[in-house]
Amino acid sequence: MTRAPSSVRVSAAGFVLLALTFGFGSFQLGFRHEGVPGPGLLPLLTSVILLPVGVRLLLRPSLLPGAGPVRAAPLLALALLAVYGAALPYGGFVAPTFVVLVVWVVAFHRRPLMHAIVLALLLSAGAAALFRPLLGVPMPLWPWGG
Amino acid sequence: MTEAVQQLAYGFSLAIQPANLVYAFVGALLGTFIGVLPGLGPLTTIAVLLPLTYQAGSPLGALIMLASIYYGAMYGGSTTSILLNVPGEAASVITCIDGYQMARQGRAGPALAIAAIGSFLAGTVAVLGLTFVGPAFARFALTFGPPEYFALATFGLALASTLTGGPPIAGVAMALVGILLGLVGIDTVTGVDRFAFGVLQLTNGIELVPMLMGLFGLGEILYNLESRGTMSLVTSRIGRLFPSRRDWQESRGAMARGSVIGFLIGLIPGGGAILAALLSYTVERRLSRTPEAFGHGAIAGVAGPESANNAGATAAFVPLLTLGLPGNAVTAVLFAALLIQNVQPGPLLLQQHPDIFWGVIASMYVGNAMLLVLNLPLVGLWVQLLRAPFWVLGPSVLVVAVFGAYSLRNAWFDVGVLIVSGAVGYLFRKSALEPSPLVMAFILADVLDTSLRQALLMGDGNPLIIVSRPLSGGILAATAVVLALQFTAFRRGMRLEPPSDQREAV
Repeated sequence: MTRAPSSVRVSAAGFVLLALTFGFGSFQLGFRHEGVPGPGLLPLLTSVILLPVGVRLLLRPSLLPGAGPVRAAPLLALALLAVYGAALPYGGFVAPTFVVLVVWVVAFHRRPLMHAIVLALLLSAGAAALFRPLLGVPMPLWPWGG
Repeated sequence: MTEAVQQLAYGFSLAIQPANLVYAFVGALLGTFIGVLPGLGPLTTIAVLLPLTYQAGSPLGALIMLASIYYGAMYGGSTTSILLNVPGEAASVITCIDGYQMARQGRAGPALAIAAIGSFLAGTVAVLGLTFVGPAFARFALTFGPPEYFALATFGLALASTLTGGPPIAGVAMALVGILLGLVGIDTVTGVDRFAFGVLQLTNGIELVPMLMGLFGLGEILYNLESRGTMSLVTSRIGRLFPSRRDWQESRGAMARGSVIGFLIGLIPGGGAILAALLSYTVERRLSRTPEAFGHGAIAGVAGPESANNAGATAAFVPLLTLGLPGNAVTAVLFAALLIQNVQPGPLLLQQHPDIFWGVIASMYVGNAMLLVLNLPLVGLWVQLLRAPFWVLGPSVLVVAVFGAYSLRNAWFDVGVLIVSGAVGYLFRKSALEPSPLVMAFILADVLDTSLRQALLMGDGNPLIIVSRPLSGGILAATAVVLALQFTAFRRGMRLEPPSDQREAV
């Protein structure tokens, strides 16, 4: 018997959690509001159906036959992206994007550092040029705004 | 009939304005450019490029550009299906079966040309159908009340969630999650905050575009980090491009039948391109004098499904523009794009914004022609693009997604939504959960919620009003039948899924 991948269990647990959160939350919202059907009605109905579906997937992950295990590289990439997202408001777009791309290309694609630097330079400068002057989006490119 | 022709002429007068021609050209080019990149399907392409369309000067310009991106991305997806055996979307799986075999036999050129010509002819047939069916649909939709809208939205979701090619339970789960997430934010009826959990940025709901870019774009990049570019081009040369006389003879009937099948299936909300392509493939195999050639490089196996796929994509604009109900995930994104431009799709669109309705229809003719002219000579270029290494493609999409997410509202929060959605998109991908039903349900959540509550109000709180009205009751009965059939068929192993050698690629 093959072991069911953990990814399905995590997804299913998420469904159950979502159903419980929205289901209980719908009681606070109420099912009638000043004589009309209230804002909690559809969330409750949906949660009531989602809960058993989520539980079934949690108990029988093999129902999703094409699933596979979560790998380390994407998780590390996500951690890097989280740091990147947190750094953007302080560092502006250009510098954090450049640094993250260099790390990304070297760490996840195993390319030489020089390749990574050239690509990171082209992409961070290119995107800044496209969005700021060309499309006119007022985005902070540097730590001091700009 | 005469009125439709006159209105279409008005649409053409708008579509051939220089600015709109430029939007159509840029959209088709960009759509093909991104869509041809391995692993990036039409939905990802639209999601990544959506912020760029906000710069279009008018809602019509934005929609023309989006529709052109859609067609371009679909054509790009056919190229990767044929040359790489990597379908850009579920419906292209059918093209892979014979298209890839043709490429392996050194007939990539005719396969690509037939895909382009079939798509053009089917798109044109479907646009003609849209011209005459659309206004009739809109008139009919004016008689709909909240119960009918609720039933129709439920029907569309049921179809969309069970026709993804995977287990129906997975699609249903995703649709339910989509409904819940779509309900986050201020309730439009009572003004009450729903599930914002005190987060100010969530009071307007979860922003769709960064969510899409995360689920599809970022999720795809993360997923591809596992394989690190193991895909290989089947052929470096595409050989002779134009099909032989025999190829034409074998393809023309398939293209005609595929166009009609695709258009009819596409009219049904949630009908889906995969159903149209699969049905066309099945019909062609049944009608063929050499059914044993299917699966081994039969050109009719490319011509039929590609035509059906394209006709279905165009026909999906009928429920979108006339009922305000998106028929698939891509038209769901177009629906959201229209709302952002302060245009409400639905039966009144034809009366309130005839310029948009007819302008978009006319621009589809123009866009289809532009794609054909653009893509046949540029096939060589697109093949070269397929060779671009993933260490260049992945970071490029990542940067466009991050900058694009921020540019929507100049909000850091949206970059956060992008990253979280990327994590969820990767998890879904690993769990074999197709996110398209989630997207469709997310956008339909408001329609479902409002129409359900209005219907209950009409019936003094009695839900039987929905099942007792003939049309809504009939649609709900059809919904129940579809769900029952899909679950039963899946249990018996008759599921829609790609052949075993393509599954890894999907």
